[in-house]
Amino acid sequence: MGFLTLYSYLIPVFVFLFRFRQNRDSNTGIIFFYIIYSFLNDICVKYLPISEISKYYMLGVFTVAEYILFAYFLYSSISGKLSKRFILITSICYVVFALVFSFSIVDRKFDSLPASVEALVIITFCVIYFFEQIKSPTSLFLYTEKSFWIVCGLMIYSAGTFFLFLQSSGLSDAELAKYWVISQIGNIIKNLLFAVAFYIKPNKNTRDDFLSLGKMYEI
Amino acid sequence: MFLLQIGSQSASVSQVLFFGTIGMLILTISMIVFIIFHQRKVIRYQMTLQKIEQEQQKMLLNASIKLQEEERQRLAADLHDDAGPLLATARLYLNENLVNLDKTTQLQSIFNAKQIIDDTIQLIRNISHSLMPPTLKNFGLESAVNDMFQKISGSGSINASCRFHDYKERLHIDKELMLFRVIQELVNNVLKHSNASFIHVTQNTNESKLYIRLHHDGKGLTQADFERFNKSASGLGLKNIQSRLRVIQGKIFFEKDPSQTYYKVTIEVSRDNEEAVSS
Repeated sequence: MGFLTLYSYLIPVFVFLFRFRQNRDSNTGIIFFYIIYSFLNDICVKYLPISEISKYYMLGVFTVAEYILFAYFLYSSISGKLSKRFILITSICYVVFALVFSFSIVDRKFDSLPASVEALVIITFCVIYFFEQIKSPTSLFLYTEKSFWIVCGLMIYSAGTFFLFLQSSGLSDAELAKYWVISQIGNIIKNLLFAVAFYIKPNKNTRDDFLSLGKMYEI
Repeated sequence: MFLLQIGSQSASVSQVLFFGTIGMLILTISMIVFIIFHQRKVIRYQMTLQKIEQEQQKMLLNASIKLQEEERQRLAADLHDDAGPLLATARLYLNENLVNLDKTTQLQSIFNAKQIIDDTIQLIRNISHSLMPPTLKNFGLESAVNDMFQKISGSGSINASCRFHDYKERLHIDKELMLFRVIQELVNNVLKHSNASFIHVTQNTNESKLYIRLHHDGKGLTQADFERFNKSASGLGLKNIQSRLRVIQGKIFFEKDPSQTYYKVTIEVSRDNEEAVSS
């Protein structure tokens, strides 16, 4: 499963490169950068002969970087001023908390609390994104938007791994290895959804365009 | 914190993990599915609303086209049936043979032709006045409505009166014409259908709006009736009122007085001072 998860990162990478022209202008580049970083980070943690403490720091930095990239993506996908301000303030608080937590307590193998808080915060941002889409939809069908698939990926991954990350500090190595499959499945689903987002053509027709088109044909 | 406490009990860890993860995933997926279906529902609802509006607009457009056609037919009939024969008769009096006739007959023919031409001029003037009342053009809405009501009162069958309280500044001529046509149509409806004993029209203004109120004591319409007629195929006159008011961005309200003794129609239009014609 670990092998499958690691190489599942390559699917969205290839799709992104295959559809480079239509992905170039959108903010999917942030997610592409995240996938590359995530892939390299996983390789380093898995294959590099480094100490446990270095791995812990790498994971700590990765959690913060992952959060910043996701938050930045959601920040640029949401248009409400209040929501943007909320994301900004929450992000500053979270980054300070995660850095302080990760670099002050180093007797763990995994930064359980920052990762679970990250999952919770990202889920909240995703809910804000969906709420905004309900209130003022930007396109006729939500699932023709690249951001929709990316947000779905983020939400499913965060929701799926939240309890695992939260409970990981209380689990033994054997148990953690047993349950880590949840995170791996979440990762694969997330990567597949990212690949869908990179593959679909951006929908230029807004809901108003569609309604006015209907009007044109009716009369 | 509660969850962390649960986490300390290793026996229940796997249960919390299992049910928690499943619960979160179910919630997430349900939310995504709900959002997709909700958006579809909203769009479908908006499209239905728009379709209804389009149908109503179509009806108004048809009504206004029908009115134009009727107006053209009436004009064509007036010109063909009245002006045409009159001019043809005048031409007969002034034929080429006139020069060969004696002087008395010539003078009689010319006199007859002149009279016929005068009648034709009067006829054409009447047609022209029905298209654009000269009182409205020259003296404004107040005079035109007064003029119309004097004629109606003169017939003796109904008591018609009007009072403009604040009409120092005339509206744009196109707006006045539209309002006049709407009032004409309303009065016509009252005369035809209501069996009223009086019609009274008043005019008022506030800062940005001009109100015209028509009261009568006969059978009338309420707002619900008006909207029902607007949506149905019948009620051509009411549709014309609606389409004329739409052009000048006006509103109309039909209501029955609380005392149940008379009906009231209120027309509301905005006063665009920059377009106003000073009286």
